[in-house]
Amino acid sequence: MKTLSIAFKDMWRAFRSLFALAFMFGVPILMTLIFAFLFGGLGSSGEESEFVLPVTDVVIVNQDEGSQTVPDFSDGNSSFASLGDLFVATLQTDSFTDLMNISLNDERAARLAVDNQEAGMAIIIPPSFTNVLIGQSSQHAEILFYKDPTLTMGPQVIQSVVMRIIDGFSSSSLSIDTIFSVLDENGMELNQQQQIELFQEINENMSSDQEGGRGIITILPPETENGEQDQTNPLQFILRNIMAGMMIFFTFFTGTSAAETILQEEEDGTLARLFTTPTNSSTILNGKFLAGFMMIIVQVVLLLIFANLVFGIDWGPVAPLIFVSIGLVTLATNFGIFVISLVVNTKQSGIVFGAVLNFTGMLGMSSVFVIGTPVEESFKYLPLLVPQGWAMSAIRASWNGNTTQAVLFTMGMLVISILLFFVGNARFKKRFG
Amino acid sequence: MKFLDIAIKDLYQIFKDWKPAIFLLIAPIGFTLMFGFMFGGFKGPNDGDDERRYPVKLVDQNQTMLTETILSFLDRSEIIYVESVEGQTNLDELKQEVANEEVAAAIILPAGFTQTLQEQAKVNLNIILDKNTLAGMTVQQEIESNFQRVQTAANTARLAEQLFEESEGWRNDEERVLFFNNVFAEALDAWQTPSVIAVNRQTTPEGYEEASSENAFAQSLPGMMAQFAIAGLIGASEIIVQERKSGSLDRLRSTAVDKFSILSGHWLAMFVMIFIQFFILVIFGQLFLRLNFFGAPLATLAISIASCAFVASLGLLIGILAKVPEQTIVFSLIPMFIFSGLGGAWVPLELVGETVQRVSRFSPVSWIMKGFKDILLRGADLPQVIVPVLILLGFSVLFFLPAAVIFYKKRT
Repeated sequence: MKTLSIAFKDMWRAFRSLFALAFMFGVPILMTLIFAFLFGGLGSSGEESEFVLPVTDVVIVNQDEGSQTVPDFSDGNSSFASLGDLFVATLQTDSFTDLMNISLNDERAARLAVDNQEAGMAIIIPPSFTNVLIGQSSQHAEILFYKDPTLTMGPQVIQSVVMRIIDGFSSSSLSIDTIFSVLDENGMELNQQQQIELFQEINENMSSDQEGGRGIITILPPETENGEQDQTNPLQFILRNIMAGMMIFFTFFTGTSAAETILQEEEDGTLARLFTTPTNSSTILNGKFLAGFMMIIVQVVLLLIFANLVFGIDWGPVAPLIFVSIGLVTLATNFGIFVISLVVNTKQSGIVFGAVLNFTGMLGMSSVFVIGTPVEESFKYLPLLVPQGWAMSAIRASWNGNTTQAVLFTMGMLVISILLFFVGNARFKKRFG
Repeated sequence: MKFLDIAIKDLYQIFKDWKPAIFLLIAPIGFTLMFGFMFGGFKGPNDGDDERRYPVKLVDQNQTMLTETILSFLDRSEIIYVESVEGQTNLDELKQEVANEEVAAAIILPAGFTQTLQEQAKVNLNIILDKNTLAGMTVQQEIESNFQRVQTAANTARLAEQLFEESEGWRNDEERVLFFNNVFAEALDAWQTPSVIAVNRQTTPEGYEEASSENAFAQSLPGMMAQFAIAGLIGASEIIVQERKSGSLDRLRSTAVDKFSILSGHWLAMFVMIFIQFFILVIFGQLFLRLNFFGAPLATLAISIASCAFVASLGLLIGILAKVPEQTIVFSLIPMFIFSGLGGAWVPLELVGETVQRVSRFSPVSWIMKGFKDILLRGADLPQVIVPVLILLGFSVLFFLPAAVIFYKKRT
């Protein structure tokens, strides 16, 4: 019972401290709120979950002089004097309005608009655009993308879309060149009628491809282990990762802060006073350890429930979540015991808070910051160098429905916990025994 | 000149303990490197390095010369890194791998893919990816773009095959298939030198200095400089609280030192502390991160001074508002998170919604970011950063005034 009394006393003190409350609940919730606000515009508000890129203002400069050989290009009911005009008309269709706001201007004005950050990008179509695409020029044409370098994603995606359209235009001349080259290698030559038929067929193929009449590319959504399709809203996806990362980051602060009270009580002289009572040192230390454990239970439970109720975060199946949470609580408590057992006084523990916890915490949750980037795979294992990384991997496996992985990571957390506890406990017992 | 004595005393108190260096220098450098390398470091995303490309699994259920040609064609991509898998056909496992983010996507070339391509010139395949993620969207664009080229190559090969058949005919089916495969490979190769190529340029307006090349640290270093400048206030603000709680302030005010000297002395100490931090981090960025701060030294100096003035005023307000030393931590961390988060220190503001972009203008960190990013990425010089400088000075006044009013009114 004495162990419990000591634990409850420490908990009472902690929950009355503004500082402790801020770190346990305030900062994780504040961070998640900020991200919710930041990415509120990214996810759609309803059940639909399309990733929406910001619309970029694009100025197009069409310098295409067309071709004297082919004076007219038709697309459905419309006809255009050059492929440059056709290209501009294609970009101005409704298909691209959610990606870019298009305006037309001369080169000087377009560059100036980008320079003054009134537009994110200028696309400059060269004079030889049509001639090159219809094979009347052996030179390459260069389409210039003049960008605001402070923007990255929007212009990058637009360039990719634009180049796909141009690929479609290029495919005719590329096909013709390849066919002529192959036939020439085989000693064949096409008469005029055959050439006309070939051009017609290539153009038909091109139209058919653009209308999706040729190949079939089927996009399948990923699926979780329990058979549910992953239909997480992008905003929820971000918030869940941020909230989990922050929760893990700050549970380790709580664990260390709880263990630090041993040093604080030693410096204040209250620990020495406790040792003079008929309570043995093991009971006192166990009470201290238990306080940290219980505080982190409260912290984890409240944050999980709060995140679910307020942000609507779905933590996945309950059973693995409980198992992972137990692992997290145990690990964070014992990590605190371990690191504080290594320092001599509260001044040194400041270094633990400032450096050790910050760096291990950030490394542990680094996988959150690389989500959706090409280096995501590399950061899958790097965080496992620190205990926080094991906790992050376990909780992600849990909500992904990958129970096997969640259990394995949690077992790893428990093994690390036992090791940390043995070292930390032994050092404390030796010190105060 | 008494304010100078107070400032020197504060600085001595701050720097006699080495721990502030963690927040002032080590943490921003550490996080700058971490964020910078995560998002490409010195390199752009399209440098062809496997580490910078999205991993994509290709399940080939055909194992033919034609699918090998496609694999080597996809391998030229600067966006995706394709790993071919033989024999794995379990769709659920693949979906799970994509769900677990082990790969960005999985391309399945189903049995009969080669035959359909050779006989009907049709690309028929399945892709598993999450269209709701940035990675999924980028990879989808790239895969579709590549298979559009594959489709063109198949069309070309089919037409050539027909022409040859009409003219010469085939001795056997093997000869036909071989011909198709060769033309197909040649047509795919032709995409290495397309007739229209993209040329990328970035803004270098008249009067601007030469701009830096693409560098992910241009986002991460200014962001972390701003964030940890505010974090660094924890220790500095605490001095003001301790001074008040220990009775030193009472003693000081009983001397001939006027209130303004005390206030400006504390402000100056914080300004100098943050300025030293900025100075070291700018040098670090210039020397080790290839960030061209010195391309526009006056602009860099102006933004640094204005930023430090804002942070110092915020620190002064925190020190005056906090009743106990512990409160300085909370009072520093809350604006740090809010200003940094909304100011684009963590996530480039171009990726957030329009409302947030408008709100971000009320965060001083967004102006620090704008000033430094314009210098580093757009080659801006002093005239181009004058607006951020003035706004930051405005924020400085905005925080200094209430601090002064409270300080003058407050009884110790």
